[in-house]
Amino acid sequence: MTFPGTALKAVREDTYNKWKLGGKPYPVMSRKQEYQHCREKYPQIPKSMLLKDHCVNIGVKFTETAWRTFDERKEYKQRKGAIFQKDKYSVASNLALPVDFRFADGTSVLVCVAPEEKDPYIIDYIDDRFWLMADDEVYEEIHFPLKPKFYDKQTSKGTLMSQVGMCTNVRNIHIIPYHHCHYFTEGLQCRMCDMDHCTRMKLKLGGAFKIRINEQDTYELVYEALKEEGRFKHIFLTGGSDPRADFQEEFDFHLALVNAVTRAAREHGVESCSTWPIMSPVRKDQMKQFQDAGAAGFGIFFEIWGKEKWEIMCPGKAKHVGWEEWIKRTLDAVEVFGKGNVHCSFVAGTEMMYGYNDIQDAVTDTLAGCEFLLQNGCSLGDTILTIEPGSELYNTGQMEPPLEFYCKLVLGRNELIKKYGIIGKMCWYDTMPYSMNADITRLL
Amino acid sequence: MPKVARQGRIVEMDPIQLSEPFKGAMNNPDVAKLLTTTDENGIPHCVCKHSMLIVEDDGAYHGCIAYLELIEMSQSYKNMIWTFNLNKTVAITTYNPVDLTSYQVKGVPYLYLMEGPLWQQMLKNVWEVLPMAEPAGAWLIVPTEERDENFSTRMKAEDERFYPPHREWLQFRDASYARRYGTK
Repeated sequence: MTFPGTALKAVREDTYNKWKLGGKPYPVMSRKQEYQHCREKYPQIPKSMLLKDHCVNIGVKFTETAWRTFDERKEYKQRKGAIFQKDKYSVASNLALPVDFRFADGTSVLVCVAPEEKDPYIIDYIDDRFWLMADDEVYEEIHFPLKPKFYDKQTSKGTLMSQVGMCTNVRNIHIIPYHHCHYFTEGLQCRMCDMDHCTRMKLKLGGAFKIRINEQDTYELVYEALKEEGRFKHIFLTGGSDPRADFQEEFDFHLALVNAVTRAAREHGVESCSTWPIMSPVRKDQMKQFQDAGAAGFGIFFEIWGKEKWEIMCPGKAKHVGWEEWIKRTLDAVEVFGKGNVHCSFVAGTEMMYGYNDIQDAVTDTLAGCEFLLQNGCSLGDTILTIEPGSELYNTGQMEPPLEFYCKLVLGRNELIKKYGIIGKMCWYDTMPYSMNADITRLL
Repeated sequence: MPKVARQGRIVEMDPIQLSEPFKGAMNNPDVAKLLTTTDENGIPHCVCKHSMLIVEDDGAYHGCIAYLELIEMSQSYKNMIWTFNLNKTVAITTYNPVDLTSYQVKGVPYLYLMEGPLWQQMLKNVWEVLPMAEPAGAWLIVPTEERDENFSTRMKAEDERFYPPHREWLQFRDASYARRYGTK
């Protein structure tokens, strides 16, 4: 049985009138009108990719048939130890949910289940297939990724491997060292983040959920996963931050995990995996240790561009690292890992929650951040904002920005990527289902 | 059978029955296989692709043509994504330099595979001849039209397409014909 959690009644009529474009109020549009508007105005964006961002932006809902069928089809990859809920209300069900799905051209879409008042897209099961629907119209066939072979196996300690590392899309293993972020302990968590709320929910639901993994389990998982030929190309390590002692414990733990991944890869006869710690930027000497341990690159989430906005939206990062040091360490990371191998990401849309009401102003500012990073040899990652229960943005009744914001951003970003010739394939279409940025760069 | 969304409805896309000569050409390693795609502006791109096969098992993709893309972000790779998104078609042409036979199949890009048994089979095939290959994905193309592109066949087809038959116009040659072949 299913039951929804509390959902704040954040609907477009309440919020869209506050958005502006070029100084004029942005029109209130239904989901269908908004999609059509962007299709017509931005034909440079393929329909599948536009639809993807709209699905993440607005959310999806399963019909009873589709949800039950997905749950019964055990060959599909089910959602396991996710780091964030990504759903727009707290979903508690004995039926399994997917992490993501793909459209037929390979565009991968994060599943963000949304309550009725969001007017979400609908996933239905018709004629033995899953389809994305809305307003009684069929938009696209959807395909769920197959379950990796390691998912049902256990480590020698008895840990379910899918709780040590989860697969995002097809080719990535996402290892989550901690499901707890110390910034929550101080009330200084990033304002869009729901990590600890998500963790508490998972603890209540029980099962095989692990808050903290360990080195041996990680080694065994990666060794087992790499047996599957032609599947896994990237391994991310990202979880909560631990700023104590200038992140020393966090660093030591991540380093041990990178070593475990590399050991598993070497036992398969390869020098190392494409392993990327994604965490607060550590000191340059520590970056070097990551590289020596086999890390191919480093991922840094800025979340939002601009000191003032960053300090308000990411108070924990501001307190324990600070803007200037964050930038310095990012540039140090480029010196260690080389041009293009430091992936910097924003949670695009957060700037519309604090800082700007005008879509164009927000896009211009974020693109300035993208340009700074590219100029300094970083590559661009990016997710898009989803407002989840437990986050400050949810608790203050905010709503995701209009789809047009993402259209303008992705096109501006593409121009900058072409200008600087740096493309990041860590956040790539086969690994990251969060944003169309990863998909549209396939066309560059 | 492949199904796609068109104008808000689910439409079945039954692959046409491909001829034995075309199948033979696709299975012959000495036959050149060309894939023609177009970009978002309709500009064509035609390249040799030997990483193509006809799916002949009884599964859901029976009758489709599978093409393994070896280079991520190559022109064909990008064009296939645009072709899919713009609901357009691609063409696959075979040419046998020994007997000069040629066939063309037009089709609709249906599905980009990155996993599953067919993907695994195609990886195995390519790694036997190209162990360093790191394929991007495999596109399934639903064949919608086949043409015999042999010269005599096309001549005959054009001859019969309108009345009077084209051969009757052949009596009105330009003057160079007489210079080249003389007059009767």
